[in-house]
Amino acid sequence: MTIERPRLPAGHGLERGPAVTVTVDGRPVTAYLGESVAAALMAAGGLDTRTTRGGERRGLFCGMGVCFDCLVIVDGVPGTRACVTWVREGMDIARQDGPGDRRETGDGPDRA
Amino acid sequence: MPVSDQSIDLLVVGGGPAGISAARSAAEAGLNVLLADERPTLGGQIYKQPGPGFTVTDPAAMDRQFRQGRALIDSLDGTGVEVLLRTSVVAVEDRRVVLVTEGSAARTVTARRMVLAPGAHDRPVAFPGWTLPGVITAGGLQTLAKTQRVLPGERILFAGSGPVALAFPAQLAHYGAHIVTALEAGPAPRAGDLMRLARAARGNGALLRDAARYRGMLLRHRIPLRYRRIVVRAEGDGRVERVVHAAVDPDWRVLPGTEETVRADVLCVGYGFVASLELMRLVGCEFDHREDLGGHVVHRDEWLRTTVDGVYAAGDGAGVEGSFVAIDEGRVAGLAAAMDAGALSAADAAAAAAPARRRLDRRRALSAATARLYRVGPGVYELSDDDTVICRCEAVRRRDLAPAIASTDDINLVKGYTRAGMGPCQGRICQRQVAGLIARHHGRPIEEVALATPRMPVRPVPIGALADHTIQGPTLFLAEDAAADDGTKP
Amino acid sequence: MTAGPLESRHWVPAGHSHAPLPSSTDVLVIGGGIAGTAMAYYLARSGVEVTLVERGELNREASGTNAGSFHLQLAIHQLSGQGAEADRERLLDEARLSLEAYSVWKELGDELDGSLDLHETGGWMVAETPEQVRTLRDKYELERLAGIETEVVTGAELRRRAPYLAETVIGATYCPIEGHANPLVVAPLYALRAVEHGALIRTGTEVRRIDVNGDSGARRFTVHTDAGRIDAHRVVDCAGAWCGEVAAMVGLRLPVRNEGLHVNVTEPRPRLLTPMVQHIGRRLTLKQTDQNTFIIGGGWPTPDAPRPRRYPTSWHSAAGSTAVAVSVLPALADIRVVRTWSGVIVFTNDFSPVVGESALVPGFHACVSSTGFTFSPYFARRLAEQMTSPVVSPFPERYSLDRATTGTLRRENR
Repeated sequence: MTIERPRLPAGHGLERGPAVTVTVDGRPVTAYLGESVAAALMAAGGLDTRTTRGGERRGLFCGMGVCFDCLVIVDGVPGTRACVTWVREGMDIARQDGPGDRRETGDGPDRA
Repeated sequence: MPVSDQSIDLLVVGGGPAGISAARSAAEAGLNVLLADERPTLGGQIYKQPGPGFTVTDPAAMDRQFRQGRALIDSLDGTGVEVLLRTSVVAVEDRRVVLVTEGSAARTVTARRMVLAPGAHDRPVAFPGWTLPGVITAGGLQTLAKTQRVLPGERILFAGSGPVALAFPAQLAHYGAHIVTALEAGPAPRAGDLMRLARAARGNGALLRDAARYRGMLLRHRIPLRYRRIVVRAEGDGRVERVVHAAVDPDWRVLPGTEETVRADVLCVGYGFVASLELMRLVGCEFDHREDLGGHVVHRDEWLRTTVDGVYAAGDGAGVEGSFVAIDEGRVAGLAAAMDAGALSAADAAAAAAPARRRLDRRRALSAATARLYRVGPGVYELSDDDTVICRCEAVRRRDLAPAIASTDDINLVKGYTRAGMGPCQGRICQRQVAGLIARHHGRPIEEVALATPRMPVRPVPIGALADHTIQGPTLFLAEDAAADDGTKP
Repeated sequence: MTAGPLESRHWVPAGHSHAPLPSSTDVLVIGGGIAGTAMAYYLARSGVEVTLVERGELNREASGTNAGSFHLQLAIHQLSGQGAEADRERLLDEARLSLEAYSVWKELGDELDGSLDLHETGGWMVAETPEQVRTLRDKYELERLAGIETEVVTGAELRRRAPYLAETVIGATYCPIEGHANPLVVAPLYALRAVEHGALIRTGTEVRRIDVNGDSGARRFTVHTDAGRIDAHRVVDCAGAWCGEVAAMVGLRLPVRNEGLHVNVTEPRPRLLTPMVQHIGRRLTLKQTDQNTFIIGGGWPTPDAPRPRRYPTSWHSAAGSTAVAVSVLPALADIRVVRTWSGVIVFTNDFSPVVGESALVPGFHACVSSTGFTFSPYFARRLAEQMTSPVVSPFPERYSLDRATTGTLRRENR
């Protein structure tokens, strides 16, 4: 299996879980069981998870469920913390605009 | 009220080192113990275990924290402790505790006693650009690297203070991260510090060896470690692209004209930790103030009883002192709960707690020796400018807060005027900073600014999980209500 | 109207509200909620020397903790037990009054030169049983008499107009002029404008004792506070849930009690619901705010607590009120409650407000009502008019401050 950055290669005594397919903003993406939605999003390209009402990009900040900044829409439910939600086969993940609209298409991951 | 379906001797909240250790010692003394934790694995933030689904192929190759955590978790085997994962305590009313397990309806348990071991999270520090994607706390980045094996950036700048300033960059580099620079806001160790450390070394060898090892790792990975410097700004279009840092004085106040700009795509910030207070505040515990232990520190007696009957507190949630202290505090709290429940005599409890107390004394001697190095400077709360978002949830900027703060020193009112602290994080990120702004404006110490009224639910709860359709609503405001009251009720 | 964003608004500076208490005033207003700040504003605007004292901070109790709704549909289910005719008269009177109160609200943003986030969203009152639908129809008839525009909607039309309501909702009345304003800004804005008109506002100032001096001059009352003493020609009791304690200081007994009411607020979600939703047979008020959050209340109780503690909220009420809400609006199921709070509300046992001047203690006034957010601007304005011009009381006898004080004045506390 090829692991692309930013995923680190297996090693240091740890193997990833089985590959699953999730959709990110409508696009199929490979993730691995045991990964958080935040990790899967980063691996899919892009650090941001949501856009505030004022149009600012936000992403994972505390990474442990405290700050509620990495909110995404998971299986249709907005306001879901990407850092403490774990991927499942077929999970539908969408970056969140404002209070819970799916981000407009054509404005996908911005990882340069 | 939904029928309480379970009655237990002790509820332990938090499955990190303090909680595990409290649960174990109480269960070994014969108490019926329930241990609840929000994460899908035990170990807490410090002993993070890989996500469920990952396979540990070679425990020996995992880092030491993983192995220590694994051993601690395994020590619960056979103790009879019932563990509830992915479970939050969302409300406490007297002895009745409301638990929500992910995907299930809320339920109540009646707990005669409670050990609160909620742990800590990174001290939130607002500075211009801290909301840009790519600014990640040390704890968050460590979780990604250690348990997910994901590194979100090519060039990571680490800024922080305290023991993590050495440990995190070293650990991240170990996993292959490119750390461009590590900044420590505190001072470089001097001869006097080293002598104090040497004197406190007895019984703390492992900790000191870790520190030396991390220092060596930084050198080996050629990561420049720069003391007395702090991040003043993160810049970029929709994500971190550049980080500006500057020299600070001993109070961590920025020295003008010392700015340097570094190209980086991830800024990792770790200015120590603050305790998770929300449950302790909800049940009405009293607090002291120790900035070096995370600010508000719950008041406890020598058996770690809080000021609320039947409620004990242990670990970083009761003052940030690290996992070794947490384990021993957990043991003392668990023994105290067993003793107060009548399962242990006072003499037996004292004897059983003695080794833990001795270790705690030695750890605290070491902390005293490093106090100068790890002191948190007040300048850390003065990095924002008018345009800086203070409340991330509601996107409230400092300039929006100013008229409210000019009108009152009541944080509840500031919250009402500006919405700062009203979002889903319930003020856990912004409240201390708002308190700091209030303190500065009104010329008072930060510890005198009361925090906002604590309210349940302590964590957001889906209405579908919260709603109880068996509850019969009270009558509407009918005549009987009025007749039942003669109007003298004050 | 300067409708700036909430954050950039300004408030009475602490330098003003923490200044020393003056030694005398014409009118002393006790209580810094919406009634008190509105009294201070209307009096100061008329050139009356007025001082407002508040023991805590402005707007921290019911005025700032209610859900900000304007209730215009008749609370026909709230019957006094004094007989159908008395209730009918009271309800009709209340209905006409609520229209007048609402007309004050509609002008209030311009009057105070600031945005109150007022929205005329319309409101449903829903029914789930045939009997409840019959009550809705009775209510509709009364509202028609009072001039409140409502309509009864059922069946396919209800589904079409309110697709978000559950199938179990078989009928509803709709009132197009119901709505809400932001309770967090109204009283503070009244306070700011009052100060601009010369009123003095002193927070952190608790009234401990009131001496009635027995003359009708400038020193009719001497009011002792924890921040000093102030002489006043007239006093207005605007202490809301605690108005009875203040009135007792001059020997009056008010027919009031207070109750903590539980409120839930959720995370924000895309707009799902514009009108407010109430229930004719169960305790529910529900709306989606400007911030896109949902506020769920409706009069579920919370336990009381001695000051200075805030009333705690109640899991029982959280679980019960959200159950009613989600059964009426099923889409709420996956939306998360992020916070609860308790507001301490004053209730009168006969459902009538307490407004006017006491005949037993001349110079002692009160401005207290249960649906205080809706009614206080109106009552405060009318009472200020009475206090500034030689008009007879515009208020019916039912509102009398003296109605529960029996026999001789109770002065045992003096």
